Amino acid sequence: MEKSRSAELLESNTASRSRHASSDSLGESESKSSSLNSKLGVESGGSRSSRSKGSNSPSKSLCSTSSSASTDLHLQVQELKTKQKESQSVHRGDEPPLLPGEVIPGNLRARDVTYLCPYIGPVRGTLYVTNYKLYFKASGSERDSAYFCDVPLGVVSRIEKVGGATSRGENSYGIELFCKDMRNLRFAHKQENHSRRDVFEKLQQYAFPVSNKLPIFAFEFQEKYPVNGWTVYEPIAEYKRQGLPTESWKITKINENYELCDTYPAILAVPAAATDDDLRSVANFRSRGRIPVLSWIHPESQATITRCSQPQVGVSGKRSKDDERYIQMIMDANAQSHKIFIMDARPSVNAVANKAKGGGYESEDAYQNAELVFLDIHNIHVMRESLRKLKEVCFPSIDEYRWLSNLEATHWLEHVRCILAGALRVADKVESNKTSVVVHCSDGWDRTAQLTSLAMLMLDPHYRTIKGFEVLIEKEWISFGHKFAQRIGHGDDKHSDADRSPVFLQFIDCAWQITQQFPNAFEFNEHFLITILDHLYSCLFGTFLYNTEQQRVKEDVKNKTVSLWSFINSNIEDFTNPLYTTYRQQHVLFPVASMRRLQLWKSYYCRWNPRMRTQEPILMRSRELLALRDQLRMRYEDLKKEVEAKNTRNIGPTPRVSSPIQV
Amino acid sequence: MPLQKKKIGCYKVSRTFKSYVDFDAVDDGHDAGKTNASNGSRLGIDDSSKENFTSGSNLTVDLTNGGSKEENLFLQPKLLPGEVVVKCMNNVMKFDNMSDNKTGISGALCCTNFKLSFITLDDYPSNLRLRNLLLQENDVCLMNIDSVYQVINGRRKKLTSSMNISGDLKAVEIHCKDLRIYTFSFKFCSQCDSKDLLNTILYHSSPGQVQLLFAFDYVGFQAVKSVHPSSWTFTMIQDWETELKRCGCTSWRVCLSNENFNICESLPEAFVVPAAILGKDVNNLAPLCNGRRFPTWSWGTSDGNVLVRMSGVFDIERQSQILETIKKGIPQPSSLQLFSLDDLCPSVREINYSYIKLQGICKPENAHSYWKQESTYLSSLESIHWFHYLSACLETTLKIAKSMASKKDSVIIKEWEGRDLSCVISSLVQILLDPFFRTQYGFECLVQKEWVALGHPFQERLGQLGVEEGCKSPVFLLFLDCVWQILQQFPSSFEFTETYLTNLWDTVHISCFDTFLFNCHRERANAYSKFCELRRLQSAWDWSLQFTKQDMIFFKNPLYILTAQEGISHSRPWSLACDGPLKSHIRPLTLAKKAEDRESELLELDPSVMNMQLWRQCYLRWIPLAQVVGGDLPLVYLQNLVIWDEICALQKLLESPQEPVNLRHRRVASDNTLYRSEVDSSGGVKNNTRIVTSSFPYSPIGPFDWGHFHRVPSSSYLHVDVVGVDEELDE
Repeated sequence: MEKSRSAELLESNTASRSRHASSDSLGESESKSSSLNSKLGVESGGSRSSRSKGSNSPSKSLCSTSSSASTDLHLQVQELKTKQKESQSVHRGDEPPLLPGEVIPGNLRARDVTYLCPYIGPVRGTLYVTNYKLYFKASGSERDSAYFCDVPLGVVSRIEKVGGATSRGENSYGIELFCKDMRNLRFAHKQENHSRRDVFEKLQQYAFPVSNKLPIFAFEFQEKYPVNGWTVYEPIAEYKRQGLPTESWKITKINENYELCDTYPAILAVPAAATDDDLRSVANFRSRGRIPVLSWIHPESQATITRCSQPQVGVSGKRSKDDERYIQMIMDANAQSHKIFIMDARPSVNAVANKAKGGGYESEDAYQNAELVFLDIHNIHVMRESLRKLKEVCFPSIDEYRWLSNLEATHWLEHVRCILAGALRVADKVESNKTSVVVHCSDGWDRTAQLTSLAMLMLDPHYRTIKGFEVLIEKEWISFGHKFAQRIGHGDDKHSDADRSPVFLQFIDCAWQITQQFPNAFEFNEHFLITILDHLYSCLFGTFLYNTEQQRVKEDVKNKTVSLWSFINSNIEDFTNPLYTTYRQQHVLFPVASMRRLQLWKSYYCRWNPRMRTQEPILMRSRELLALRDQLRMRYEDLKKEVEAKNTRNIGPTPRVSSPIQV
Repeated sequence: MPLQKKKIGCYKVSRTFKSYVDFDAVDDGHDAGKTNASNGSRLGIDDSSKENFTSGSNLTVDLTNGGSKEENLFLQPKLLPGEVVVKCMNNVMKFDNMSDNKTGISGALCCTNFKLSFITLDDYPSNLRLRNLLLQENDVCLMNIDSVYQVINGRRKKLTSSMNISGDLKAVEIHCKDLRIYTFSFKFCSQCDSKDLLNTILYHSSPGQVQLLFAFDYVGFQAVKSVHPSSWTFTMIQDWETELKRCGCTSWRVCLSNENFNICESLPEAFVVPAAILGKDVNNLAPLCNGRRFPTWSWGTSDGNVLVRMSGVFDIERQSQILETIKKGIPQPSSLQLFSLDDLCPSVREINYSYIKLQGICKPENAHSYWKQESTYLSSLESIHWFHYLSACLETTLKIAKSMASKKDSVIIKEWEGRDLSCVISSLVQILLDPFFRTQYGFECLVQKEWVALGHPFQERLGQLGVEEGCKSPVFLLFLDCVWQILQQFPSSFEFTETYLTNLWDTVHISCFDTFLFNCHRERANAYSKFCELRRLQSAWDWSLQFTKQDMIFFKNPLYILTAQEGISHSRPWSLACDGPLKSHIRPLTLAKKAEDRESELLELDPSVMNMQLWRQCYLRWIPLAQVVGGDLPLVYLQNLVIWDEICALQKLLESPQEPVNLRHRRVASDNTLYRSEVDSSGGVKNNTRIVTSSFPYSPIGPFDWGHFHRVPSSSYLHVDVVGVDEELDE
C-alpha cells in the first residue's frame, strides 16, 4: 500500500500532467473513441464497469487506454487513477495543460478552428501551439466538447498550407500536418480570422527547432522523476552481468576518446588476445572503424554474438591479415566450435554492389573456418517506402474488402518476417550449434542492430524484463551509434531526407511479434513498446536524441535532459505485463517467422482508427482474471486476520494454530 | 529460408524407417512386389539403427517367421464394441509429417468397419494432449477420410472405389476432412494386398448408405447408456414446451400437425407456431412454402418479440397470407422484420468453393509448398473470401440481434431452402442475445434445436456417405467459425473454449454418433425403425464416450468466471467442482432467463472483415511449421486454468465461514482434475517430453522432432507455477 500512496503523491503533483501529456497521442485516440462511444453509443458489449464509469474529462480518456495500458481492474491502479482524475481537474477549462518548462510562445491561440477528424467529422474549437505540442480543444458548445487533441510537435514531419485566398467551400482553407506516427491532421481556419499565418509560423518554428536554431524541447523540460533513468545502463555493469572479463574476452577503454571509432561507445568488449595495435589495424579495414566487438556471450557455451561494419574489400578484393586474424581470435574464444558464422544482413546483390563503393564482404577463402551467410534484409530506403505504403493502407480509412492484399502489397510484414528469421538464425547458431556469429550489414548500425538485439532478446531472459529491455536499447542501439537523429529527423524540417528510415520502429515491431507469440515471457506490456515509440519522436526526453554517444557526451544530454526511462521506471506498474511468469524452462525463445503467425500490429499502426479496437482481447481478460484472484486473496487475508483476531480474543493468550485441511 | 530448411531437416534419423530409406537409396530398382521374407532379411541385415533395435527386431522376427501371416500378434488395433477388422496389412511405412517422405516409422495398417488405424511398435513422444477414447493418434475414422491419392513422382492421382489401381504404391496420401494428411508407403507390401487394402478403404469410406455406417454397429458402453440424454432432442413436444417456457413466449404453442411427417419431411414432428392459429391453417399454408416448411418459431422473449424461420414461398403474392398468420403470435404486428438470407449471406455453393480453397492454404502437402505459400499467404486468404463470408454472416446476425434487442422487433429470417444459412444466422442471433446459449449445455441445445431438429442436411452437406453429389458444403463449419470469431472478441462470455468448438467439428466426422448423420429427423426416424430395432444410437453430446473427465477440462473457459461472477454473483460460484461437463447434459432446462434488459446482454461484436481472424487451432493445428513452441495462447490458457482454480478455492474458503487455513496445504478442486490428469495420462510414458505448442491440446501428427526448440513440458510448467502460487500466498 505504501507504494500506491507514494504514487498518489506523485500523481497529485505535476508529474501527472507530464504523464498525461507524454502519452498524448494515446490520449487523443482514446478521446476520439470515447467521444465517439458516448455519442454513437457504441460502448463495447461486454464493457467493463471500470471503463464505462469514467467522466468525460480528458484525463479519463487517458485512464482507459484500454488497448495498451495496464489493467484497469487492478484495485490499486484504479484507486490511483481516481486520484489522477481529481488532480487533473485542476486545469479545467480550455487551456492546455502545460508541462514544466512548456510555454505558449506569443500566447498563441487560434479560435474558431475546425479539426477535420477523418472519423467523427469536423470539430470546432481552439488551437494552441506551445513549444512542445499542438493542442486543440473543442469549444464548449460543440457536440464533442470533451474532445481534445494533443500532439507533440516532434511527431510532425511536414506542415503544409491547404487552400489559398481564393479557396471556396467549407473547411478548404487551413493547415495539414503529416506525422511520423502514422497519421495526418488537418485543421481548417476561417480566412477572415487571419489565424492561419501565425499558427503556421509557430508550428514551423517549434516543430523543427533544429532547422530554426532553437533548442529541442527535451532541453527545456523541467520535470523531476523519483527515478533517474540515465543510470539504467552502465556498460561495465552490463558486461559484468554477462560474465566479462573472461579468459578470452576483455573490456577495453581504447575508444575512451572516440578516437578508434567515433560512432562506437567509449567502452568496448573485445577478444582478450587482441592488442590495441590489432584493434587499430582492424579499424582501418572496417568501414568507419566499426570493428567486430562483443554484443553478447552465451553464459555456458561461450559462443558469442559480435557486431561490426562491412570489411573494406573493394573491387580489388583487398584483404587484411589482421582482420582475418581478429576474426580467428573471436572464433578461438569459443572452445566449443571450430567454425564461425559471418551473417551479412544484406541481400547478396547489395553486398556485391557495395564493393564498388569500397565495401564488400568477407570471402570464405580469406577467412578460414568462416561461413558467410546473407540474410536478405533490405536497406533503409526499401523499409521507408514500405512504411509509407503501410501508412497509406492504414490511414485514414481502410479498404476493408482488400485489406489483406493491400497489406501484403506493402511488404511490411514480409520485411518483419525476414528480420525475425535472420535473428532466429543468429540465435539458433549460438544456442543450438554453440557457434559464434559475427553480424554486419554495411555500416553496422541499422540492420545489424536489429539482428543483434533481437537475437539477444531471444537468447537472454534478462532483456525481456523492463529494465533489461531498456538496457538492450541503450546498448545495442543508442551506444552503438544507430543514427537516431538522422533516421528520425528530430527537429529537422527536411522531411524527404533519404537518411530517414523506420529501422528502430521495425525492431520494436519485431519485438512485439515475439511478445505476441510468447505472451507471458515478457515483463513489459504493449503500452511500454508504444510509449517508447511515441517518445522516439516526441523530443520530450533526451534518450533518443543525436546519432552517437560522442555527440551526446558533447551536448551533455545526461545532465541537461530527462531520460525516457526516468518516466517509465517511475510509473512502472503501467508498463508491467501481469501475465509475466519466470518459468524456468523457457530460457530461449524461438519465435515462428512465418506469415501464418505474424500479424500487423494494429494497436500501433491503426490506433487512430476507432474501429480497429477489438473489445475484449484475451490478454486483457486474462489480466482481469488475475486481478480478481488478487482481490480474493486480499479478502481472504482480511478474513484470516479477522478470525485470528477473534480467536485471540476468545481463547486468550494461547492462540490456536489453524489447522490445514487434510485430504 | 535456409533456417527453415534446417528445421525441416532436423528430424531424428534413427528410426526403423531409416533403414528402409537407406535401403531404397542403395537398391533403387528394387521391385516392390518381392516377397516379405526377402525384405525382412534385408531389413535385418541393415542394423544401422541400433536405437530402434527392439521395435525393428520385433518386426523382423515377424517378417521372417511368418511372412505370409495376415496379422501380427503385436500389431492389433484397439477395437470398440461392435468394431471388426476388415483388412490388415503389415510392413506399411508411415512417413513423418513434413519430412518430404524421407523419414518415418513402420507398422501395420488396419481397416476396420469404423476406422483406418496405423499401429506401430515404435515408441515416440507425442504431444497430443487431448486424447480421444475412440480414436488413437494414428487412427482416422473412415467417415473422416476425404480422399485418397496415389503419388507418383510428385504427382497426385485421386483414387476412387471404382478404379482399377495400377502403378507403384510407394506413396499414398490419405487426406482427411479435418485437414490431416497421412502419407503411407506400401513399398514393402505385396501389390495385391495393398490394392485390396486400398479398395477396402475406398469402399468403406464411401458406403453410400447410412445403415452401413459404424453407428449402427456400435454397441457403446453400458454404463453410459443409462444416462443417455433424451430430454432435449427438440423432436418431442416437451422440449419445445420447455424452451417456450424458458423464453417466456406465451402466444406460441407446439403444433403436432406434422405427425408422421405428413406435412413436411424436413421439420420435426413437433414445432412451434402462433398459439392463435389452428392445425388446419398449418395444413393449408404449408404447401405454399418450399419443402412444405411452415414458418417455425426458434426463439423469443417475454416481451413477445420472436425469431421465426421460414423457407421460400412459391407464390410471392401469397407470402403476405403467411406473414399475417405469423403476426398472430406477435403483440405489435407492425414490428415484424423480414430478412432474406439469400441476399444477405453467401450461398451454400460459395461457402463450399471457398472452403475448398481454404483447405489448399491450410493443408500443405510438404514443407516446400508451405514456404512457397508464404509470400502470398495474406492475399490468398483474402481471395478465397472465407473472411468475407464470415463477416457477412456476422453482420447480418448483428443487424437482426440489434433490431430485436433495441427496437424490440420480431424477425423472420427467410431462406429459399430454409435449412442452411437459416441455421447459421438463427443460432448466431441467439448466441448474441441469450447468455444461456453461451454455456456449453446451452450451446448444445442450440445446435440440437436449430441444426439437428430443424433439419440441416448434415449428411449431404458433409458428404457423410462419401458420395459426391455436388451439394457438399461446410455450412456447419462456417457457423462454428463464426462462433469462434465471437469468442475472440468476447473471450470471457462463453463457458466453453475454442478447443470445444474444434472438437465439435471433429466429432462431426466420427461415425459413432447419430447426431450428424442424417439430413432431417424423418430420415433418422426411418433408420431407427428399419435398422435399429429397440436400440438407440449414441448421441454426440455424450462427451464421456470420447474423453475422460480430466481431458474435458480443456472445454472449460477459465475466463468465463469473470462473466459468471457478474451474473450469478454470490449464489453459486461457477466452478469446476459443481458443474462437471459430465453432468451438463442431464441438467434440465432450468437456467432461467435473466433480466428484461436484453440490450445489455447483446454481444455487440465487430463484424468487419478486417477483424476476422484465421481459426488457427482448427485449420493449422497439423502443421508443425506453424506452431509456436513453448508459448502462444495455450500457455496463457494453462496459466488461466491455474488462476481460475485458485479463485474457485478462495471463493469456497470465503463462502464457508470455517476457520481460515494455511493455503499452502490446501487441496483444491483441481487436484482431482488438472494435475492428476497430467499424472494419469503421462505418468507411465515419457513424462517430460510433452511440449506445449500453439496447437495444444492437439498436436501435429508425430513423430516430429521439435529439435533445438527448448521444450516446455506442460506438466512441469503447471507444476512450477502452482508451486509459485503457494509460495506467494505464504508471504
